[in-house]
Amino acid sequence: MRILTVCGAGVGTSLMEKMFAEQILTAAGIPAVVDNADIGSATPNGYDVVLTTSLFADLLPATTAQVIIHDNLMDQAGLREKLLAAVAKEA
Amino acid sequence: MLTPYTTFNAVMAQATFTTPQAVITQTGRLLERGGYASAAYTEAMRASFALNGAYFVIAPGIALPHARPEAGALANGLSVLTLAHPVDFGNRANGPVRLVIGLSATGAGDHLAMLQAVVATLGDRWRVRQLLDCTTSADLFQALQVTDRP
Repeated sequence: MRILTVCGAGVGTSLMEKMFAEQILTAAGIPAVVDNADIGSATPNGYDVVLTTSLFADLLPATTAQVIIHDNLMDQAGLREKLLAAVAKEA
Repeated sequence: MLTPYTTFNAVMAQATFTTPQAVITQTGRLLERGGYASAAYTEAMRASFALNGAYFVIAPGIALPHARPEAGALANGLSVLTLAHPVDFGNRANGPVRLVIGLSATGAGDHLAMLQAVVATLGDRWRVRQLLDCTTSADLFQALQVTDRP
């Protein structure tokens, strides 16, 4: 499973999303590689799932990856639900 | 606990700014006062908002403005600003903002612990409430020293 998190600068939001995604997937026992990138350099192809906010979802290059939109970063229960649903689809 | 990543000079309670640009500018000035970023970094935060919008409103009422490391980050560090009145940054999902954490990261990949500390504090509604209730910058700085609950 390859997951990409995307934000504006690549050092704040997407890194937090990466931390959360890793925690959730580790806890669920799902092996995954999670990378993060800024919107200017993000290349979603090659990833199974892209995790970002509504704003950047519109700006992402066209991709075959599943795009998860999650706006409240502190809502980890919501993120877990979306992420695990996306992972289940890939499996 | 956020005090390892900020200083008293970089903290301000109950500011009365009314526009996102004024809030971002002050957040940057606080980063400058803390020695974490240059004036160019503050300008880059403003430009990022103008270009990308308010994606850095990461949760209801909470903004985390920042720019790219090469824009003028001098050290890893935070500024903390609470607003007396909510300011609308235009993020529909997360609404108007009252708590602002300015972030400077040098991009060396060593600021994960700082982000984890931010997340630990912001993920605790009681802690956020506590920070917002502080009426003076001294109180706010003290509240930032509280150890996060597991």
